[in-house]
Amino acid sequence: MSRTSVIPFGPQHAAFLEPFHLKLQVEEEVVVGAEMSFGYNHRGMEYAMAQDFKRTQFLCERVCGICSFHHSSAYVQTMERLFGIEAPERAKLVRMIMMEAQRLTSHLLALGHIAETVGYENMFMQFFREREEVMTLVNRISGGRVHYSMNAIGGIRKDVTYEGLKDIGETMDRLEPRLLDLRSIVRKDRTLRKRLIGVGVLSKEAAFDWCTVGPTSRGSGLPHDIRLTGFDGYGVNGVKFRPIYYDEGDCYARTMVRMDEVIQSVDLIRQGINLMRDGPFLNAVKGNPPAADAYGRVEAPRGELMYWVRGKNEVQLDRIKLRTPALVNVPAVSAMIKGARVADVGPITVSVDPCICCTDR
Amino acid sequence: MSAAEIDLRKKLERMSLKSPRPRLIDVIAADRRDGTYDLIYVFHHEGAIVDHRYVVNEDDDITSIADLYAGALCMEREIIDMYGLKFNGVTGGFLLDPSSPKNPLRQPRKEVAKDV
Repeated sequence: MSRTSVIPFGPQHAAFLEPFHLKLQVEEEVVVGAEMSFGYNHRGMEYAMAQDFKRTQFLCERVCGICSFHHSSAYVQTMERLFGIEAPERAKLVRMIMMEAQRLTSHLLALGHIAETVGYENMFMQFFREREEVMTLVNRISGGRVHYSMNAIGGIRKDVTYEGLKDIGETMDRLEPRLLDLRSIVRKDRTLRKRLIGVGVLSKEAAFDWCTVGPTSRGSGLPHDIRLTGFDGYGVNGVKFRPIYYDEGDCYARTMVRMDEVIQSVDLIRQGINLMRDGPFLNAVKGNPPAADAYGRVEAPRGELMYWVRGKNEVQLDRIKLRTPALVNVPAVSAMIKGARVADVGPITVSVDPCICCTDR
Repeated sequence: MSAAEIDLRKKLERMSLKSPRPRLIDVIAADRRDGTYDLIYVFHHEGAIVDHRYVVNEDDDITSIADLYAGALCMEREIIDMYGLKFNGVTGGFLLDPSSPKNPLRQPRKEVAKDV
């Protein structure tokens, strides 16, 4: 009979970009149990964001540096529902284009990270080279690489010019063949397939039970995507969209969902540019949020991001609650790593694209 | 198990009978500033948000739904940290450690009119 040992994994670990702690119970090389602890990045964001609803549209971008625009889009969408107004069509399309651009940066980071975690440095550098192209593009459009600060309650703060849209289209034209090349490498590469196929399997039932969202749930065969139901910029404006999902539930399936979604984002950005028409881009709001509550959801790169806001006729909000995708995806890692080898714990954890800033808030 | 929890479980069973099982999005708590708290269970059901709202006292023993949805455990642990509510069989310490401020999201109680 083998003896159970405890191995600490994190909070500082080469495989993690942010701090969280796994206490692994292992028998020889096999993980038989795990405890997770969080809170290393807790900043009290929900308290701070309730202090002034106008400042919150900037503060909410600081929850996470990788899906910052999704946070501000979810917040302004919730506030628009609370105020009973709707953003103009042009603003919705600009939000959609910028959200898909940020999905590109996030997914390319996650793909590079998984390649690096399995020791494939060259692949990591290739993903980051393409990511840099998108980072410089969003910098040219919004003036910021990480925080775009383009959203406002009722629309967008600054419009995208004709030249800007042309720039986005040309960048997508340059990027697409290179991304297709990378996808064919990920599909065929022996190293990635050997390290990721059959590793960290999360069944469809377990994915549902753990309430997982985004590529983590779509990699387990659940075709749930808020872009079909939640955000106004999709579907209603004639944007063609179908969620991408794989049934296998392993690390490779989650990686392939992201890889395919990168190509899909290029297509969605092009659709957004084609649908763009001249018109207003901001319906300004007056007064304080009413004493009512509202939900807002967007599909962030890691999955469904939900905001719930309750106003009280003051500048201060009564309560703001964020349900980030990482809050449900990261705990599901404890189900994925049972039965895995210690050497696979890094890739399994990275395969859910853990964002501890979002988890801890 | 309180009446609210029995009601929630019955509602969930009824929702599951009609169509695929509802997906839990979040469990939200909010201070009502009178010693009671809103407890909101938010689900995605048939393409839309469905929520079930209950009012609980700070001393109530609330039945955990982590046996129905494993993902609910972290949400309940966070509520314990932030508001000091009690869920049966669940301990806090999700985001805050023992030396952190207690119940940081509890708000000051409403001012009650005093006799002059």
